[in-house]
Amino acid sequence: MTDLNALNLPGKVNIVTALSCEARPLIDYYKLKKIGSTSGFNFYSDSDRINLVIAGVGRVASATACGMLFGAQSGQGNSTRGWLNIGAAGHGEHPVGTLITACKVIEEATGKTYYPGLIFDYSCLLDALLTVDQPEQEYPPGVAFDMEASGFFAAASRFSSTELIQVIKVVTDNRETGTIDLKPENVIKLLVSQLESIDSLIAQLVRQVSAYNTIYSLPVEFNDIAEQVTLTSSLKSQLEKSYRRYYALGGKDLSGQLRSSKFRSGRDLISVIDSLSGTR
Amino acid sequence: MKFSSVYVEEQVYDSTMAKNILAKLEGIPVSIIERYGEVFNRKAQNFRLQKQSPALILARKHGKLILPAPDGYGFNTRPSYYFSHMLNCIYDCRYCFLQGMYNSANYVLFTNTNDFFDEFDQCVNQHRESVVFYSGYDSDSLALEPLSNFVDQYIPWFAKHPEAVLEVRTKSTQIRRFFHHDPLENCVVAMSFTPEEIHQGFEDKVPSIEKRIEALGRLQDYGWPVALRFEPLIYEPGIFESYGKLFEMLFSRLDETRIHSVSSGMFRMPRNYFKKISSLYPDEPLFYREFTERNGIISQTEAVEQNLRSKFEELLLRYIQNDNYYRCG
Repeated sequence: MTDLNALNLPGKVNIVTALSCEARPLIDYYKLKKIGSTSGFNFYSDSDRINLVIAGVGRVASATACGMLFGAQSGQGNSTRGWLNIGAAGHGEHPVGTLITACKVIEEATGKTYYPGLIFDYSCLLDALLTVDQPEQEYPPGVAFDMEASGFFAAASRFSSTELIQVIKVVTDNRETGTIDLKPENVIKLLVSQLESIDSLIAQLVRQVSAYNTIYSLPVEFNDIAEQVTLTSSLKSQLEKSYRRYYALGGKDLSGQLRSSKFRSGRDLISVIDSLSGTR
Repeated sequence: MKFSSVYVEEQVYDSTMAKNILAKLEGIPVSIIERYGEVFNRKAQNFRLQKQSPALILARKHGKLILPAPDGYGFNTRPSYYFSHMLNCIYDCRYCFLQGMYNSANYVLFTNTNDFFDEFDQCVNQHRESVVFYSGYDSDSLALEPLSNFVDQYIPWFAKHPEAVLEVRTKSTQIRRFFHHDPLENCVVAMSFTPEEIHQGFEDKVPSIEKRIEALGRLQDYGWPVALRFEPLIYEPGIFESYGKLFEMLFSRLDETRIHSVSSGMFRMPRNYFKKISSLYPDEPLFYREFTERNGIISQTEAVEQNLRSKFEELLLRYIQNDNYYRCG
C-alpha cells in the first residue's frame, strides 16, 4: 500500500473508471504507468497529462476515488484539474458501441441532478445519464444508465468548475442484448473502437485546463516572492492582487525586478510591487 | 446563433414558443429540466468558461415579472419599471455587471409572454399617468431576436396601449421586424454606444459602431423614435477625441431634432459584483484601475468622473439640446 501523499499525480486531467476493463484501453493508449495503490484504489499516470484511478463499482466508490485523487494532489501545487468519468453504460434505445457524453446526470436514489458544462466540441451523442444503485434490467427509453456518474460528479464539482468535469460512456448493453453477454473483453473492444472520440475530448480538456490554470493559478514565482517575507493571510491576498496587477498591466519578470531589493516586511514588498505597476 | 445545448423546462416544453424555437435548433441536444435555476443558479460554474459556448434555457418566469426601475434609470419622472424577457446577453462586454450578477453565462429565454402582458395591464391600471417600461436591463433586448421574436411579440401590446411607453435598450442590429410594424410614438429604440477604444477594448461580439448607427438611422428614417445611450463612460487617454468622432458619425446620419432622448451613465458596479468579476478576470487591466467605493458601489474616482462628464457633455451639447439630455444613475 502506497502512502497517499507519496503518489505523484501531476497530470492535468483526472480520469475515474469503475472497472479495470474500462481503464485498460486508456492505460494502453496513453501508456499510463501504475503509480501505486492505496485503500483498494489503483492509481496510474503518464506524469504529464493524465492521471487515472480505478475506483470500483458504485457512486460511493467513485466519489471516494475523486476525494483520494484530490487529496493526493493537494500537496502538488494549486492547479485545477479536469475530471473525466469514463465507462460502460446501458441504454434504452441506442445500439451497443454508441458513445455518449452526459449532458445531465440524475441520481436515481436521491433525484439529484448534475449538469456538466458543455463547452467542448463533442464528436458523439449528448444524452441524459441515470445513475442507479442496481444494474438496470428494464431499459426505459430516452436515457443511459450507469452506476457511478452522480457520485463522481458530486465529488469532482467540489474540486473544479463544472465545465471541467465531463462524463463519457460507451453503450455496452441495451434492451435487446441485456447484460448476459457483458464480458470485460467486450467492454475493452467497445471502448477501443471509440478511442478517437475519447482522445479528442481529453485533448480539449487538457488544453482548457492549461488555459484555465494560466489565468487562475499562481505560478511558482509567486511563492518564491512571497517566501521572502512573513505574511498574514490578509497580506498574502494583497500580495496576490498586487502580483496579478503587475502582470495584467503588462509587467515582465517581476522576480528580476525585485532581485536587488531587500524587504523589511510584507507591506514593504507589496508597496514596491505596486510602485513598479504604477510606472506603467 | 450556436448553442452548446438547450435546456427546456418541462412546463414550457409544449408551448408554441418553445416548439418554434426548438424547430429552429434541430440537431442541438435538448435536456428537460424542472426549473431553470437548477442549471442557471448552480454553484461551481465559471461564467468565463461558459461564455465560450453558452447553452440556451427555455423557461417560465415566476414571481414578479416587472420591477420598479432603479432610481435615476429612466428618461423621466413618471412611474418606471423594467422587465426581462431573457437573462444574459450574447455579447461579451468586460464592464458588464451581468458577469457578476449571475453564476452562469447561459441564456435564459422566458416563454410565458402573456404573463408579462397581464402584469403590464395590472401596472398600467394601477397608475393614472403614463407608465414607462424598460427592456434590456438584464439582457440585450434584440440580440436574440431570431429566436426570441421580441418585436413581433411585444410591439402589438404597446400599439394597443398608447398610455404605456416601451424603451427597447439594445446594442443589436437585429431590427428587421420593426419594419413589419407601423412606428409607434410610445416605443423607443435606444441604442447604446461607447467610443471606438472602449468598443474595441471591452465589447467583444458587439456589432461595429458603423453598423449600429446605420441600424438606428434606418429605424429613424422609417419613423420609429430612437434614442442614444452613452454608457458606460470610462476614462481612456484620447477618449474625448474619440467621442468627438463618434458624435460626428452619429449626428451626420441621424436627424438630431427627431431623437427621442440622449443619456449618459458612468461606469458603476455593486461592490460584490465587481469583486466576482475581478476574480473571473484576474488578467484584465480594467479591474486594476484606480476605483473608489461609495455606498457599496464601485466607480471611477470623483475627479475622473467630473472631468469625464463635463468634457463629454461639452462635446455632446454641441449637437443636441440640453432638455433632450439626461444623466442616468
